[in-house]
Amino acid sequence: MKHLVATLILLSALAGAVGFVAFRATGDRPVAEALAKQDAMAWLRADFKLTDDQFAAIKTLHDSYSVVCEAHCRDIMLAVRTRNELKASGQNDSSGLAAADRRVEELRTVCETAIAAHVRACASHMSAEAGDRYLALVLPKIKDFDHQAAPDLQLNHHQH
Amino acid sequence: MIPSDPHQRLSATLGSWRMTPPRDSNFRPAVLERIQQRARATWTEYVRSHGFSWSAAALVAITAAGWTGHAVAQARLQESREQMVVSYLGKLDPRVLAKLRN
Repeated sequence: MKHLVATLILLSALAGAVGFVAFRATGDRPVAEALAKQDAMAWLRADFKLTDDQFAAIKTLHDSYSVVCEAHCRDIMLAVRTRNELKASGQNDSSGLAAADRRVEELRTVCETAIAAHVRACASHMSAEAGDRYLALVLPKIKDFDHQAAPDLQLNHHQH
Repeated sequence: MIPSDPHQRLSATLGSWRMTPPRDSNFRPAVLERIQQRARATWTEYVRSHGFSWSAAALVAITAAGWTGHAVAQARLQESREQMVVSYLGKLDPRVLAKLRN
């Protein structure tokens, strides 16, 4: 009986050790480190195995897109403010309100199109496999990103 | 009188058959010795005597543990990756930034 218990304990310990090693050995250390640090650019570089040239090209794209992003952001804020003021004014201007709503939606669609084009441009600088994987990760999120906020946005204020 | 029916003859033979096994005075000590020998066996002897069962159990346990460790790590990595994508897009998406500033 004691041999049975001892063998069970030994086997459990062995299985636990194997499980731990498999857990630690799975994945890519630089990717895990970038994810732990919440460093988006380091994550892109590590997860999509970017070369220095690819990384530089994507960084340039991001930098130039930030100007576009800022302009779109300003336009959306202005359109939303206009619509909200119109709503708050209490005037019964339904066509004006509908036009303001349409304007907000148009701008959001423009943004969605622009950001999708931007990520496609980024993907074009990656290897085919990495680009496909990158697009598979980001494109579905862009589709409905308007309705959700990034969980860490309060800590991660982006300044253009 | 000997019955003529072979079945009756067999029954009669079996009925009259008596077995008297020789008395083995060493029987009880031998059984006790075997029990004690089993209790005295070392762990190595125990494992060797159950080699096949424990090998199979070890193979199953190690495979399951390895697979579980790998799967848990993959799931955690994927979860972190999803969070990173949301954070990454949050920095790039004017719609989110406009909401944040409103």
